[in-house]
Amino acid sequence: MTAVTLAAPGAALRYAPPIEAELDHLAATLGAVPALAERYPLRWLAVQLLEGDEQLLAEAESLGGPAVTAALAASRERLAPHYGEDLDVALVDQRYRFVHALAGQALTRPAAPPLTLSDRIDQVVTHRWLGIPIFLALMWVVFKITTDVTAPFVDWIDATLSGPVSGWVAALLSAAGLGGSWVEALLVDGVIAGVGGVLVFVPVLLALYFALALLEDSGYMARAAFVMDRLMHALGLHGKSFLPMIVGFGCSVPAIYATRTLDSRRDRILTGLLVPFMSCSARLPVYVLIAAIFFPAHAGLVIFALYLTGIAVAIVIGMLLRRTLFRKQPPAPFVLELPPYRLPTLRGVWRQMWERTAAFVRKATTIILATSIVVWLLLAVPVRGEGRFADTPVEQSAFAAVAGAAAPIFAPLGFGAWETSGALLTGFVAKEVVVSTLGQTYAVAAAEEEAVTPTTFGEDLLGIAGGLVSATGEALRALPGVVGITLEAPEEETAPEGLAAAVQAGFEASSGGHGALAALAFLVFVLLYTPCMTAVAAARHEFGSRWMWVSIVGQFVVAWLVALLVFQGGRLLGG
Amino acid sequence: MSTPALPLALAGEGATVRLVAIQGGQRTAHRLAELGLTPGVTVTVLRDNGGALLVAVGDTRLALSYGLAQMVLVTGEELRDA
Repeated sequence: MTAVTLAAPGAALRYAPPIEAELDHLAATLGAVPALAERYPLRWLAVQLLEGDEQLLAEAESLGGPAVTAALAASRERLAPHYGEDLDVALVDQRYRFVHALAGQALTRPAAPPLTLSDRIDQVVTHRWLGIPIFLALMWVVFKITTDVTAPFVDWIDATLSGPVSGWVAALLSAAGLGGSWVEALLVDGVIAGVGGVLVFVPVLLALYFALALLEDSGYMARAAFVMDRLMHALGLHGKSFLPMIVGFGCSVPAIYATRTLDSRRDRILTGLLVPFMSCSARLPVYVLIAAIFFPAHAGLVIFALYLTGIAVAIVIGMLLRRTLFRKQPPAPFVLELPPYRLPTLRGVWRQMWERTAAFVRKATTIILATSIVVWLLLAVPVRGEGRFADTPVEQSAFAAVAGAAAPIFAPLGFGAWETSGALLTGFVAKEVVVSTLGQTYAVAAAEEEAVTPTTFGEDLLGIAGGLVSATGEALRALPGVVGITLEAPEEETAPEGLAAAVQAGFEASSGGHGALAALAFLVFVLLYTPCMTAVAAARHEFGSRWMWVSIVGQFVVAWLVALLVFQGGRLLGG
Repeated sequence: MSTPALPLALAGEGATVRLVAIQGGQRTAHRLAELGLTPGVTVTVLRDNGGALLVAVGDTRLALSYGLAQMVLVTGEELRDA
């Protein structure tokens, strides 16, 4: 090993003589306290104290006692005639002067510096008219990547868990003599379905964090904040909050995590409270089903209006929160350094993707697992009729009883029947299941159970691998669509035979003959209440339990009030 | 330096000005100073989007809201279009 000796820098930073004198004084006083002398370079500590570092001051005073306080006060007093109240600025200023003097000796610069590449890119991306369209185009790409490109992988994970993995568990349990028992139902319908609910988000999150890491590491995110600043001011937020809002149209979970890019906790929480009002993609099947039943001629219009309603509610709530809960916390003064553009490194991007996704899986699994088991238990326990544990019709289960008890809450909204409140109850876990619960509660046999042909372990493995390959193929084919705007029709949710009639009859009955209005209120409620348990887990992870409850309760109240407004208001207008 | 000082927010896009002082809280002044906005430096307004400014201070590029730009007093030595 060869010792590398670095030449000591020839230039040492010297402040103006009056300051230097006080630094010496202070260093001597601080040096008399062994605990401080061991922990900090004394001159550095003296500079920090003069600049007013509160944390270090508290530490120095607790270790050094009144001697430190007195010495600091005396120094400040002696310096006051020279610098007034601007001592800290003077210190920073003198450091910059020193740096400039040093740089002036070492560097030769052209008199008028030419525009750098960064400046030239900035001239385009921060342009008064081009800036916002460029930002929106990039957001569109992020949005498409997190939805379209990941969709095949999401389906693949879903198919693997509900197919082969569930099959293996069943086979293992059969081998242990527990085949067809409630243990199998708990593991397959409760645990695997619950954990699966978390795992299907993994491709979405990886894609989102990939896109975010690219935007952040390249330096564009800082420009985006500048460009969107003015629009977001209306919500009491600044430009950076726009990104989570856009991501929220895909999925609330990554959107809540995307608030991490904001600097102040106030902005993160306020944005996190508004994000769930952006209509996430999981709510779409519910809209499609209900709109097709009640508004067959205007389904597209109804769905579009729901998206707009979500945005409008977010704006109103944002303004309200800004004047109430966050009244005492004005938006953090917005000053942001714009780094020069850089090419993101593969390693940096991968590390961000991995760390953030892994943290989500760890935190979310527990809460989702617990909730799925509770819902499964409610569905399994019979409270009426002849059913046995884990083998009871839905309408005789504890779930129906709980849903029935909750139903009166929704009566003023026009859908106070246990069938619909049950669907909203499971919708709290995930919006994906609202449609299937409606099918269950209206006691309509779901479309033909897929014929299960027994497969061997080897066949399963081949099937999983084949599924991954075809998912990758589909994702690659979806890539060109990211750039071009191809608005494909959403997947058709075909209503099982009889469900449409049953739902229609149900809404008509619960609303006293205003079925369509009640359906509209139901859709608005679905739009505005808690997106899913995973989003709740994300909110707790990011903002803590207190804000998680504010979020849950707030969304419920808002959803209830707006749905009430739709139903009762509609009736007054003679709907 | 006889030109009267005015807030940076009023300087206008394209203006090159000299920073005179920072009004407002000690905390604000300190934060801005640490980012390089110290009295005497030359500041160029690269962009003014109506709510925030994009300025160049040496090699540093800063975005700052009108609220903060109001606190930064500059003198228009080379005001071009204000």
